[in-house]
Amino acid sequence: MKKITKNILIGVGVFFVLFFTVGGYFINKYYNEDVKSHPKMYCYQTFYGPANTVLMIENLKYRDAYVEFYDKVANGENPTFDFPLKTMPQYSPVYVMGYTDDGVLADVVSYYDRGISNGGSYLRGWVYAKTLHKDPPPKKKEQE
Amino acid sequence: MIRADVNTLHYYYPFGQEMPGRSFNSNSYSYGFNGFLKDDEIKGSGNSYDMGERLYDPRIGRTPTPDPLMSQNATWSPYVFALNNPIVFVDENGEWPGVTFMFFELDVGLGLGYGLNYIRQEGIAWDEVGKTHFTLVSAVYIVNQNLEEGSSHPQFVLGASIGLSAGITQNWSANTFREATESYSAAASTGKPSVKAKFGIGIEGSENSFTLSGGLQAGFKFTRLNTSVEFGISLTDKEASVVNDATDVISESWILNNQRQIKDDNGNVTGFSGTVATRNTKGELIDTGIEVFSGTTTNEDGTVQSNGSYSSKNYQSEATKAEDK
Repeated sequence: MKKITKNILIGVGVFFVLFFTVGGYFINKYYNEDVKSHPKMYCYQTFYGPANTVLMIENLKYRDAYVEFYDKVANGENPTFDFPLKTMPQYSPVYVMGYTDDGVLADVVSYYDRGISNGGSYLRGWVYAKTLHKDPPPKKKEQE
Repeated sequence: MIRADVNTLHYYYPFGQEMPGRSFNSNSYSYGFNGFLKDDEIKGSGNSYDMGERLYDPRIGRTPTPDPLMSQNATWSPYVFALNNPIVFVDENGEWPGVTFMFFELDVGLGLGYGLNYIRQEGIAWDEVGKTHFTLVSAVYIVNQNLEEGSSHPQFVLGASIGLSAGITQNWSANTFREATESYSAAASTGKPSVKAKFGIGIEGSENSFTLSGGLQAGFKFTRLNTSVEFGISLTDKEASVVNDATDVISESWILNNQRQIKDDNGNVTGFSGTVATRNTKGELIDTGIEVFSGTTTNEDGTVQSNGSYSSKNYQSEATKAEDK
């Protein structure tokens, strides 16, 4: 009985080692390849005229407040909002993983390197679908 | 051949008192122990120093007046010098050093390079200017790691631990919360590579900070994690008092209200603003009207980044002065 328990423990240990070293590598590799096989687009809004960064939400519990906010922004208003402040990089591409059933929000991944104090080089969240564009935004100098 | 004249020569006891018969001063040099300005007129040579913010008597290792920043730390006497440990610490100006963080922390992690780790710290930080309510999050999953592609900010988890704890971090390299969180050298267990081994009580140290925490934590792991300020409001002491006085709830509750984009005349979003609110015992929202603005940075490619952290104009201007010290 003790021998069986010992073997189970060794088996579990080997499984974890293999899972995280080999499995982790392949999960990461194939996930990133899968992300990059999705449509590549740029996320920015031009509702105020020039291209501006877009706010994003990471949790769909803020969906209603977020959609209401951007519906108003799309009408040229500058409304208040009460969801956490996070921005999606505008000059590097995002990969569109999917949309909500009504197509209002898009699930996007960004590999823009925001630095160690802003969360690193991976960001996934929901953005207003109308803020996705095929072409990158003009550079600020070009806009001026 | 160059000839140098000796202006001053001193042997000191640890707290800065001059050793009798082992000192020489030509009186043409006005500085002594720790580079402090000597104030010899009142108590005699080497017995009183001007540290900048207050005087210091090295014979008793105490200051005659309290630390101007004594409100940052209630656990130490405001009259001590260099936290009573002048061998380890250097007291540069007589003020309580750096930034003090008090936090609750949830930390769950498991991995061998690739892995899973979630750290959430919620707490309050005191700095030279005022006070900050903050939430820091470090989240690593296998899918957001980038170890094989030579990422400039790779994250890894080596080991396993799980725990819920409370702690205090003292960072003495930064004067403000925003300065401390720019590199995250202050934040416990986040940012820099760190070793964590907690069994009831945890101790962490780095060149810039020291953390003492206690709670239920078991495991052992090495981590290197990227952190985000998920939420932050920084106010001066005076503004913090206004918010805390506006509620009848004992525990402090700072809520962001009326967040809005700030635009310039051309329609470019240049930042974000909001007001600070609190709640009373009935749960009603009380807006104090104190305006705060988010810290945004514009990267080389023009991308505007917000770190989710807000601060008042007064805090920002005072913090700039404090960081320039």
